[in-house]
Amino acid sequence: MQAETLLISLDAIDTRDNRYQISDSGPPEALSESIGEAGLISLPWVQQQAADKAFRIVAGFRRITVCRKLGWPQVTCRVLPAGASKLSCWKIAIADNAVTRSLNLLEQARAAEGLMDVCDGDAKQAAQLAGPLGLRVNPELIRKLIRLLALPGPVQQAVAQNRMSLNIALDLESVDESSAVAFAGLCQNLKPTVNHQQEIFTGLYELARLQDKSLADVLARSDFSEILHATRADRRRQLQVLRRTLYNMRFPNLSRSEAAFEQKKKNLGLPENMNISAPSGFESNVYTLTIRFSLSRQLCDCAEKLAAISRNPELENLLDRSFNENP
Amino acid sequence: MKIRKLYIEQSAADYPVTRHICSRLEMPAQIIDNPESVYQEIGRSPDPEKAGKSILLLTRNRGAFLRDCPGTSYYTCCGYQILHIGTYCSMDCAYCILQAYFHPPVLQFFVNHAEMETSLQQHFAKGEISRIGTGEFTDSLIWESVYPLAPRLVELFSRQKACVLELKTKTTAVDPLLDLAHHKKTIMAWSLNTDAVIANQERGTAALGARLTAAEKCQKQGFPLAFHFDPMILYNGCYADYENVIEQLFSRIDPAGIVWISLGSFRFMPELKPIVARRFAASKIIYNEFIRAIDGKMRYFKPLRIQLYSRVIEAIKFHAPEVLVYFCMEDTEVWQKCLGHAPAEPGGLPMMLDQRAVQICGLSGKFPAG
Repeated sequence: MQAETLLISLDAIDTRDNRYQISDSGPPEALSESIGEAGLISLPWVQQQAADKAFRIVAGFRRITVCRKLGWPQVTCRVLPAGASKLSCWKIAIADNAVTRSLNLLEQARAAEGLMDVCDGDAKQAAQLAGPLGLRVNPELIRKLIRLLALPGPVQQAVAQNRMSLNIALDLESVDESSAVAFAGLCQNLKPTVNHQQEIFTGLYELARLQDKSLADVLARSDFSEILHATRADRRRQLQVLRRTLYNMRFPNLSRSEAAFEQKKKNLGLPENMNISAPSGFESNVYTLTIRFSLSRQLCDCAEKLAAISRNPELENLLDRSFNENP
Repeated sequence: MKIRKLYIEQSAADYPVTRHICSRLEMPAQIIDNPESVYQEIGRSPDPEKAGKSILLLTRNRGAFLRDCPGTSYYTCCGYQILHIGTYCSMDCAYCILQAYFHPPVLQFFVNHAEMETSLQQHFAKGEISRIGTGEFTDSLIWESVYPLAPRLVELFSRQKACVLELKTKTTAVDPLLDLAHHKKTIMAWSLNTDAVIANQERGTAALGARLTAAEKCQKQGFPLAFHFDPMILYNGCYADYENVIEQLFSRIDPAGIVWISLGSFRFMPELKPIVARRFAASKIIYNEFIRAIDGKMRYFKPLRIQLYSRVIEAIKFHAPEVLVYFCMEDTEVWQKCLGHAPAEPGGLPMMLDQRAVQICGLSGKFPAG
């Protein structure tokens, strides 16, 4: 690639033209300090738009922003000719970013979009080009990343910040924009794990479908909004309460039966090292008793207690399945 | 049945059934060595389950024509036998498990009927009471527009006394059967559901009224009848709707001619859920209160099933106290709570149904052992 190293005026750089921008956020403080202290070690890349016209940035958006903030009038850049191909520009933009740091998913999506553009939508070719530039993506991931760019900004940001998985973000294609934004807000606030994201999204989506509402409408219900907007609440506790509330709403009959079972079990007064589990979903009528012990005399002790428990009328109450008749 | 493409497996090309279907469909057929290419074509489609409904593959059944119903151990199975005539269905019901059961789903019609008839004759020769149906892997009557199989089966069954054929359908294609001498050895059966379910979840099936009209015609010709409320689906207002179906049923059908009525609630392999979500975006049937049951299928939480069954049984018994009602794949607890009894051992449900078939269809023979 033919490129000259030139000192150019910052005023001659068109910062509105961000077609090659991959970086997602503004410059970190450390970059400002480094450039202020040691100057530009790695030169930005620009391309002359046409003779006597402004330059567009190809790589180094954040460095140029810092230079501007530092009040520099000029900056030394690697200048690509106006005729440099889009492919060349994208290669430089991606390599310049990907070689020095790991790109977040939103940045990868922008890079992938650029490569897909120059490859006429051929994801396989784009993936082949991406590898040597430091961007490890396969064709399937490229197609997913491109879809991310069509989602609302808050969803993109939640993915970029690792608060939402890419797959969950793509699930949000099936809901309206305000619902997608509301769910992104939930992920930003509560930072659920990927499994919890999936569980919460599925629960909210299905509840919304059942109630003929949008997911945003369901989240706006007082049950949820009180949890989400609780001030000074512990985030993990908030998440736990949200999941429980959602479960109770999604499975009202099952959760009532489970709560009743737990209450009856409490009434039975099992020793700490014993537990009785209900059959999954109360589908069968086979209950499971668990005893934890480490010494034979503990087991003898348990046997005595078990004999007493088996005579306790509360046990009959616990095993009584007539609750099944009145959902 | 709207067939867009016709494929014939090389080894099935020379069968009379194949020639009959080709002349009937009047469309170019492609002879193939191996069905894999057809499976791939369907698999590549954006909607394979839909694509499979318009591609007909004529092939030979290389396995058993008579098979046991694939029931699971925990739940009580009716123990009927499947006469495996073909696969999949041209109608398009949201809840249809065949969408997920076959990989990929494709309309296959087996043309080696001589072998099928041999299997049947060998089975008849045992003289064992049995119930045989064609409506498990397909609808029993959708094939009539391409090949008149049902009349032939009615005729075959009419010539023996131990076995009864059950033709289960959501169509009204009964006219070619009406004048046949069936000798009560064919039960004409319909899947029934509410108008709302039929309108919203069953594309291309006959309306409830039309199914009942077809049943009425069959009853006039002396055919024993059966009805299957399966899958029953929970939705707001479903109890009243099911009661209404039962009211319509008994306003037109004499219960004395009903061999049995089965009840089953919507249940599905988890793999069906994404298919329904993709293909039936407006359908809410997969979002109810399901639990993963002992056989791995998703079922309504048991109290919900019990309540629904109880309401429907009450309505049936009001109109027809003597009619035999049974559950398809339910456990003893559901039987006891809804019907007040569970099938008695030995023999269980299969024996109960066999005895009913003996009583209504005039079967004679020995009851199967075990």
